[in-house]
Amino acid sequence: MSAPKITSFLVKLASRCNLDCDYCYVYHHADQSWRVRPKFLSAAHKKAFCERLAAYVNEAQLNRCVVVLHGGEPLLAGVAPIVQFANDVRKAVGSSATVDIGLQTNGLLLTQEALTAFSAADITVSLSLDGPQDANDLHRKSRRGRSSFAKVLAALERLKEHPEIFAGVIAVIDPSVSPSRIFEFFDEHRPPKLDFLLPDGHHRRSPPGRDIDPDIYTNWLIAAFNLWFDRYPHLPVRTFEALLDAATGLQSGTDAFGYGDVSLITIETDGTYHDLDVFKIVGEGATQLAGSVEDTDISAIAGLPAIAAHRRLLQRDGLSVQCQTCSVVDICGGGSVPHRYGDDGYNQPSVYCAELLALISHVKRRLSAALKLSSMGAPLPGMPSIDFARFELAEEGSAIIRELWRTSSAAAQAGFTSAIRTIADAHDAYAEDAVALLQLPTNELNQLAERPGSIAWQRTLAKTRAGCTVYSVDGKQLVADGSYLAFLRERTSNGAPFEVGLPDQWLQLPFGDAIYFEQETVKDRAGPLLMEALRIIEEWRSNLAAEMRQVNRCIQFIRDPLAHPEKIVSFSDNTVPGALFVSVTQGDRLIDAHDLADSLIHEHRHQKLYLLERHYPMVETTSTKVVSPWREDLRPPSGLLHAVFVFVELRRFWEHLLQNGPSRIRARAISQLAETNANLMAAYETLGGCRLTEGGQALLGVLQRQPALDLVQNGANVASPA
Amino acid sequence: MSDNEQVSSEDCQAVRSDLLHTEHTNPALQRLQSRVLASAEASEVITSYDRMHHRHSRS
Repeated sequence: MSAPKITSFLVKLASRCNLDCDYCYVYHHADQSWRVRPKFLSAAHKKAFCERLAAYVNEAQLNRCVVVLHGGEPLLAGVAPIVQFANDVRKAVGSSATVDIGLQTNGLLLTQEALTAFSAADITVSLSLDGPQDANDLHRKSRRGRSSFAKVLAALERLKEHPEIFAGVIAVIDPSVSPSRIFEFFDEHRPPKLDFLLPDGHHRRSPPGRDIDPDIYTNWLIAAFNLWFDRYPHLPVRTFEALLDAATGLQSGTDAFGYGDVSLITIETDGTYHDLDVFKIVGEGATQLAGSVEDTDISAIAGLPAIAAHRRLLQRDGLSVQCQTCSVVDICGGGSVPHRYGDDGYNQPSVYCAELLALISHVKRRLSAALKLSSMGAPLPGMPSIDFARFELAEEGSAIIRELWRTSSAAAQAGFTSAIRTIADAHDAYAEDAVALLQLPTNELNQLAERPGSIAWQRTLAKTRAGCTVYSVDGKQLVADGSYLAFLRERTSNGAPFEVGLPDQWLQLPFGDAIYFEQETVKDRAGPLLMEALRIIEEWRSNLAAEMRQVNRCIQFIRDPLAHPEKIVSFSDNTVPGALFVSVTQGDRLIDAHDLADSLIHEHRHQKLYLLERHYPMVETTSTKVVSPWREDLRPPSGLLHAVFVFVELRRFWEHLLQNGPSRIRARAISQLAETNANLMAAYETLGGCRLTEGGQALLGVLQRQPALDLVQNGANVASPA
Repeated sequence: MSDNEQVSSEDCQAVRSDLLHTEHTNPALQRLQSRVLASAEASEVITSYDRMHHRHSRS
């Protein structure tokens, strides 16, 4: 096995501290080497570290690494030397890699001047603070036993004024303090990240208080998780998020849970190399590796047998037998390595094994229940039973569609009005637009609310205000604010059935750069083409054309930059309900009007099914994927049901074209129908084995009963593809 | 789910699938969803016709 890549470097700038926290692994556990270390990392050692790091970054081909300025209390080294060191580190590494530099502090010396200097030097700051005063004063005191809280709180307030460098807060758990006190405090201060640490311990040194109450940490952790998940989910708590990550198969991002690899080494104030410094809890010299920045390359450290032994402890086959056979081992990963220490070295579960097992089982239950709530297969409360045969056919389903649309619109109108009221109440730059919109007649306001762009905008705004982050299809963060209202104020209905190619940012933002929206020249050229396509549909089935107008409001001309230019592309997206996205060019030329009609019908059917699914779930949530005859990749059953719903209608369209369309597309129609018939047969069989809801089964039955034209009798004289 | 039930890769996949295909109101689940999205294969992310369905002409 090759050596691990070391990407994090914990540099001890000071070996002393101006606090005397009673749980500190540096001063109050087995290793007391701080007593003989230099108080500060010397200039020579700093220079040597810079050189070693620069060499290692090149050798290991790192694009990014992290240098954590640590102690003791690193600020004892002085602000100017810290900034100088950070600059020297970055200068030494040069442009070959990005160096993220962070500082972990108790805050006592975190002055405004320090923060200004750190901000200018791009040094992020993480603060150690256990919670409100009564919690913090339990452990985080001076050597004379005095409270540090007032000074640390002042530092927190100053740090909040520098969000650009505020990395987060680390709090050590004391189970005698109720989780609600802790969360109330941190909710008031809203650190960008919060990390709860269990007090360090192992099998020879039990966690404080547990000998008296064996469940004290379990109870605290579960209560804290519930509080966080239910009342304070907007606070990013790394401890719990790491558990959720591990439960979904992600790397946990913390050494407390999950498998991993050695990626960090420590440099003490005498320049010597050490492993993770929490190993200080197990014995004198337990962190010691070999050599120092004066005489040894970092790559040599990465290749040491001690690092290899540590790596093994982070993998499943390096765990104790008890761990390897445990039900939650893939989530806990054996827990923090130092916490496993005991009579058999690290070859036993963590001293917090019972707590981890209980917490992980609880988190799994909560996660499972929360996801199931969102994926129930029953019709939503208050919805009547539905005649799916009538719904499916445009000629019979207009009343059902009207009712579905009315229910959806009511929700959109309520959300939209609420969003605008909030903006009006904020009295900011957009309040005037909000007030003007609120003064519109109700029917005009409702029409604005029903716009696909308005729905995407108000949903994003509501989610953002609830503490959520909303992303575009290509992963960009979406920001919704009142600036959109000026655009909406200018919207007046011209009576046209569809708004075509309107530069509505909220029809486009959800797709980021994944989709290109056509410019005016193409829109102008495609106008008559669109009219022709809509005429084709109208003349074929006026009820379908009416249904399309009932369900949809906007048509956007798009191109997929990743698709071949000769391909015709179209899509729908439930984040912008009622918008049809279609391509109108093939290379340099416009597409055939029949192809555009096909695209419009296709995407309308998706929109029609979305409308139904908002009230009547069709497929039970599953991770199972199935073969779709229309796609090369495996699809979820919901996607296959959508495909069937679309192609049953398109089959009718191409049967019509075969019998009544221009002769030039006859061969195309025959080919299309033969393939569609074969694909539908295969899809019906596949869906028969999928877990559809009662409604989904009923709709599938309706679709299966739809008659198909006999191609041979109609002169097609073609064999269906196998 | 009982404490004795083994966590399998199928469990993880089911949770990931539920996460990716459901709209969440809980910000913690939203953040989890975005982390799973960031790590997911393209085939996992755009898994159904309810998210940007593309099709291609055979003409």
